[in-house]
Amino acid sequence: MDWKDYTERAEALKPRLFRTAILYLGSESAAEEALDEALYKGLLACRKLRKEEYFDTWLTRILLNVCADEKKRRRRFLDLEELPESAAETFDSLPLREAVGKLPEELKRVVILRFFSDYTLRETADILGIPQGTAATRQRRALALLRLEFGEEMAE
Amino acid sequence: MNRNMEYEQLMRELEALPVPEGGIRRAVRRRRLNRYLLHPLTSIAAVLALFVILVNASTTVAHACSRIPGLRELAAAVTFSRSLSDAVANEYVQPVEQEQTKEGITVRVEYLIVDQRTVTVFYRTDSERYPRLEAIPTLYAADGGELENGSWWSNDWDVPNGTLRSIRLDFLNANVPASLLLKLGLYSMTAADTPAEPAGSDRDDAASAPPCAAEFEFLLEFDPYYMSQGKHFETDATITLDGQIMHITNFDVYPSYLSFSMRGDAANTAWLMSLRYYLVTDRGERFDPVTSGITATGNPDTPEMMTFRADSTFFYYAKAVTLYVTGAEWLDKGQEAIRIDLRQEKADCMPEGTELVSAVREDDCWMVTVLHDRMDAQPFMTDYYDAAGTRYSMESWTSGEKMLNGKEAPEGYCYTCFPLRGYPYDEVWITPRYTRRWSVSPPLEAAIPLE
Repeated sequence: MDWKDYTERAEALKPRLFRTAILYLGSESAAEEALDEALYKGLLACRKLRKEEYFDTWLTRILLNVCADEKKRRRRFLDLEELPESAAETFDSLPLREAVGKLPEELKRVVILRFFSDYTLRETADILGIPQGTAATRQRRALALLRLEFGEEMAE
Repeated sequence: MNRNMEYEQLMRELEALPVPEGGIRRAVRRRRLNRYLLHPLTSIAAVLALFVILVNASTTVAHACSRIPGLRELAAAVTFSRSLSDAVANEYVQPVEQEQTKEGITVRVEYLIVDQRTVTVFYRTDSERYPRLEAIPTLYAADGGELENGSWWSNDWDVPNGTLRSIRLDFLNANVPASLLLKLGLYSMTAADTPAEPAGSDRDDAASAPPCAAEFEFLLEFDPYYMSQGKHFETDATITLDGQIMHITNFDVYPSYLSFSMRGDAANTAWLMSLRYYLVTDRGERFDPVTSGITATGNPDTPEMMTFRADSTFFYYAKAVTLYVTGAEWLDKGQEAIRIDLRQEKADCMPEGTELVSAVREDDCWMVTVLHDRMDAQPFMTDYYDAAGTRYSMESWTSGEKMLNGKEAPEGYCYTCFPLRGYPYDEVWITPRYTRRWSVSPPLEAAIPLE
């Protein structure tokens, strides 16, 4: 992919990337920083992307990796502690946005990508590098903890 | 409100959030800045600043502009430098008028300001096809080889088409050669208009750099009259600052800047790291340190900054100047590296106005946070060492009035957090920019004859 195509595709994807980063990091300023870093890393690597149909999942994967680094870096300063799945009552008591942030990492990634960043289950599995069945299981566990109920169409 | 209603509301809130603008543009710029902004050859202190003043505020400039077409615009383009403004006011300008057109882009090199040690190139780009162009200049020897001793910079980002732009090239330990090759890569900042990359590009970063809209080459030949301009004076003045003896060893006056070199006496207990000063000529004109570009240069063998740059007295024909010193920063000898016990979060000592706040291990990285009273400068150099003297380098740091946990710094202070990535040990030696600061009033002075 050349730089021109990268710029156009990345610009179109930015709103979804920003939403993903905000929910993952819980802070707009941290999300903006992560988005900048991901766009920069994507720019450096875009020539290596051979199949453009994977652009969205490829750049989102870069963003999630950047967010994970940022989360580690800010762990001491931001309230990014996760709750175990056994803490169902605590999840209930939290506003949804905070509850998403407290989900165990593997569940959080699935729920953010599926229900806040508009990726299909297959795309979510591709981004995370996991089988689709695993993504579906994690999605089910996450929705149960958050007490979210979606129709079949949205949940697939 | 049930969870699904909460979800709908959260989605509406998220979708209403403004998406930060310019992320891709910043990425492109960062990619280029990393490669092109500055090519240092020795330790240098530099600032990038742009000042806009009214050209007509100077009667001399206004007078010169009234006689030479185009000079008014040139005068407006050099307001960041009093020395260059004086050069333009004194018609110290070599016209060039080289023009090339490619791929719907016209580049015109119009003026040079040249002296023994610097070249400033003024050019403009124009295009109907590309509404906004970013220019990446690179300077080479006339035969296309790498430039030795040259350090160039440009701060012309986001300049509209048709505006006069400039590149400045400094030769730190050599004179300006008779000619130079300017290669100019032009990049469209509007993605939709960017054409395919020209065939045959063999740049080493071709795999990752954005495609170039067009590349131009200009051979710049300098008038020997301008190349010879500049005067060097050996001096033997001495000034004692805060108990440290400094020998003023030479004084150079070029049209584009003035510089003087100081050497610390061998008996000194501290290295001079920065100097606050001004100069006054025998006719009472005051000259201040430069506020843009290279402000001081050092010696690779010591931490000391030795040569300081100020606005030039070249067009004022001074027979003597007086150096007035109002303050300095010192690095005490023996404290060139400061030990921090990361595990205990204790430092053996810290630079004046700086305190260690925390050192936190996060995976393979130590995050060290300090509180300091200068917003404009990180108190440490990028190099740090382990007990065996192995050198490491930090790639980045963040500064702000708040820590990331929201804790606010006292008024006038800020936090700086620097990561020591991959650093495996529990103690580290960091290198401070200075250990103490000193001010004096009234200023201390040293007379320097220039004849």
